[in-house]
Amino acid sequence: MIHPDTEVRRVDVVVGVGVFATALIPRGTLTWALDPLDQLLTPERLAPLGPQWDVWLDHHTYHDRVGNRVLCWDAGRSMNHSCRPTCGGSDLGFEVALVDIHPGEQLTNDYGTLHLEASEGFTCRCGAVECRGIVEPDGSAWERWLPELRAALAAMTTVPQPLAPLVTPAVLRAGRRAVGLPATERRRRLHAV
Amino acid sequence: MIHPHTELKFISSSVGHGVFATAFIPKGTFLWVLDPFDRILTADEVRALPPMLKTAVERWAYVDPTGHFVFCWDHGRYMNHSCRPTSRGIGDAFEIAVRDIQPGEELSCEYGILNIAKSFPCACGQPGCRGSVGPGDLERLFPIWDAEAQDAFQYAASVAQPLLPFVKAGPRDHAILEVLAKGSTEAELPSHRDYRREGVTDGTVEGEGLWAIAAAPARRPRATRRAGAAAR
Repeated sequence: MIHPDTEVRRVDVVVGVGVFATALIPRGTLTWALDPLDQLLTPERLAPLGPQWDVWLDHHTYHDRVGNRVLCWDAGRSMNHSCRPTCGGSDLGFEVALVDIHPGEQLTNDYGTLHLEASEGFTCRCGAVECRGIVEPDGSAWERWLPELRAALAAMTTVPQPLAPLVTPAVLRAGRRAVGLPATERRRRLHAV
Repeated sequence: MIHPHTELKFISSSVGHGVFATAFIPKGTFLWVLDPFDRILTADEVRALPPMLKTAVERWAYVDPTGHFVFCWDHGRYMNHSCRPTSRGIGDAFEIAVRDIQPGEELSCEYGILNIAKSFPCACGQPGCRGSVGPGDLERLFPIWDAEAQDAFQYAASVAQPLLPFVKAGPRDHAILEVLAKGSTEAELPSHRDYRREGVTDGTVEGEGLWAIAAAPARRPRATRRAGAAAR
């Protein structure tokens, strides 16, 4: 589920829509959590689908680390790529704000971290100073954002967390371990509002 | 899956969002079809959801004849009710446009067939607005709804049907698909009345949400549940 202080807005005819903050979302806020209404599409489930679904799958789903596709039920699936993303961590089962996201700013991911297939590279026009120009399958994308991700996770207990009920303590601990923080954080220390 | 020439728009804080046409859509077009990614949830599955997701399902899912909650994956779930809707249901998996729809016009459907548990006030503002939409409406009005669907279906083979490749047909839909595959519309359509879930009559079921009928039979009194939790 995407953070409640967001809305989907049209960006332009090329990009389509994007997800924008409607209130300040401070660094360390859970911006998205994988939840029971999101659908894990295993290769077995996708096998019987005809080629008419190819464009749909490309447009609405992302690849997880272990070869499934994920279809988010809400605006989470409309998050765009940026070479300077405001959010990160999808492999953890949740995402956090890597920076303070101000009202009107877009929630974005580095698609390089989303396990693109070889055919799924694209020309980027995100406009960031760091823009790579072409976004391709990228084994090092995770490491690129690790310092920011670690700092954001370390700040999680200092900000309101409306999505806290959707992240189990085990998922949170595993996430902290994955970015190199002690796995001692407890969910009840997150301020659910 | 909702028709590709549509978009989600915010209407007002009381109505919420609605689905609007972005291009002309002719009568006889399937405006929505059930597809493999629309989530079908049992009442138990809905009850087990975290409260913030349960709220979403109760607000945006509808209840099918078997008592399952159907939670559309896309903005089809935001289609509003109208007493003079742009589409009628056919079988288990289709909503068909019963008149031409102009760009900017809101797409709407009839909630009276969606096995709602309780009546709700309607302010759709259409000529013939019933003022209140309830579980008993189906039994009274299905002949009119059936006639509109049958009339619209005559056009189904002569207009573009972008959703047809994506449909997940139910038991009552195969005959419709077979007829259309032959380029024909010679078919006796299933009645709206067959979509009714047994036991749906106005005011007999208490529920937390509009669609609580499916969750009702297995519900325990809240106080008992709390007491049990405390004992543990």
